[in-house]
Amino acid sequence: MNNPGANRNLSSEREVLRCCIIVQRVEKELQNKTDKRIDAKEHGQTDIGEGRIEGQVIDTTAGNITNILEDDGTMTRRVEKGPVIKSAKLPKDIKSMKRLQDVRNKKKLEARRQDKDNDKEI
Amino acid sequence: METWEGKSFSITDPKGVNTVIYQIVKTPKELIKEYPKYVLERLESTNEIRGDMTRKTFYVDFPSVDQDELVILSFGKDRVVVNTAILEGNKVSISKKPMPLKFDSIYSENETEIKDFKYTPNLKRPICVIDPETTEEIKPVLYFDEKTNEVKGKCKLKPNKPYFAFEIKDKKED
Repeated sequence: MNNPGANRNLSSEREVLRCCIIVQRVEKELQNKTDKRIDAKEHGQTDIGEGRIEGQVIDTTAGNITNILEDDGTMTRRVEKGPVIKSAKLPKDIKSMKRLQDVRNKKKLEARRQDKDNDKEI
Repeated sequence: METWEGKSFSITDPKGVNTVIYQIVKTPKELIKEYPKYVLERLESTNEIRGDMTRKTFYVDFPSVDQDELVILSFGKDRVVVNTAILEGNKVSISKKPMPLKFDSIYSENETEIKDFKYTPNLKRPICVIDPETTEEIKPVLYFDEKTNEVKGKCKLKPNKPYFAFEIKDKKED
């Protein structure tokens, strides 16, 4: 343990492993907090409270955007009632992500329709 | 040309704080053999400087029909605050109590615990490793492991520097 070179190597390995330990902790904590959510707007400012970052404000109202995928692979985001804010080439895997999302959405829509049909039958 | 609806919302960070957000995308059953059970999509954002504050607008390009789960990570000088949130319609609900993690707290771990911990991230079980200083992801480099005959990924980390890493998994039933 008196060899400084050896210690440096050990230190490097520990950093990797320490990193992994945080993974374990977050995992555990996220599990504990799954069902403890609030609508921040109903509870006033979001920057006050245990563990919160002083001065940080989370806007709890989301707005709509329209995404436009052009034939050349560029994407534009249009904020509702606002100007076009971005036009950029999509990353390679985003189309596969969209396909994934499409499958998921279709499935949920089908499930909803099924539920409605079941309700009618009852 | 194809169009579809997305969502956006904003977070204003004070000086010295940098927030990043991930959307948790659950893989449908029919695609579970090709993808991990959960895929983390980092939300793109645009910044607007307001004095000492930075207003960040995050874009959920592919929102779900009902709701989306989000992980909000706010990186400060020596800690990261973890919030979980749900985007449902036009409302963002956040966790009641965020989880602050101090980077220096990990140094109190003793070596026994470190040695006992084994973890092999792979393409079916990805983890997200973030450099807290830049908030950029540390992308793994793929390599072929001849011993196991598998393609694996490894992240290059610098010694004596904290990193933040996380993965999403289902809660185990008691």
